[in-house]
Amino acid sequence: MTPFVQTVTTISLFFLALSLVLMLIRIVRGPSIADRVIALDLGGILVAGTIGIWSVRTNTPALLDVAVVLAIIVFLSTVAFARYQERRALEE
Amino acid sequence: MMHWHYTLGAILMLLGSLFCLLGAIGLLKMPDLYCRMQSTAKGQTLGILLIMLGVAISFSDAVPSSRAFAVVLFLFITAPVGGQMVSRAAYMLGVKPDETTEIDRLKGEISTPSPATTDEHAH
Repeated sequence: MTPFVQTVTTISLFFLALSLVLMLIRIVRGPSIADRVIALDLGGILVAGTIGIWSVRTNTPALLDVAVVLAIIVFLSTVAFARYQERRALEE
Repeated sequence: MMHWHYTLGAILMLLGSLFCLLGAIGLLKMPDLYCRMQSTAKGQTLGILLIMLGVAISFSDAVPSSRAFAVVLFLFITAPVGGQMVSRAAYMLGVKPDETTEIDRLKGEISTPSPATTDEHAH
């Protein structure tokens, strides 16, 4: 691991952390519940990217399995919300 | 032994995290829900593609690279489906597009509750 790679991955992790902070601001502020859901969706994907960069930095390929599972779970939660809200809207 | 693939992978990861940051800025700055969804979907898709490409190039091994490409594949399949379902549910719940929106093809197709009834049901 060269110093250049270490510096660049640190900057990448900083960018992702900044994105997570912006996402949290949108979750707190978001006028409707759908805003919060898409913000959480983006947050899960950002965490998956963070896990990828961290696995390169610490040279542990086993962490990538977590990223795969996270990508699926985030999609499932989004679809569950959408179906639930759509049914609620149709019943009104 | 040269470690050029680590350097290339790190540059790709930097580009990918930059795109993720742009998507998050769009999530914060865009005027309404539908614009925000468009900005985050593009940002996260391209960002994760570049990050996972960087991971695959850095490891240069079959097992971690297949995991990285599995993440990209799942995201490319699920992001459009999830985005369409969330936007449809939001329109049914009565989330209004921004005032500057010119074309609203779902107007009249799907009955939306007025804001007053939505507030009432929120309690």
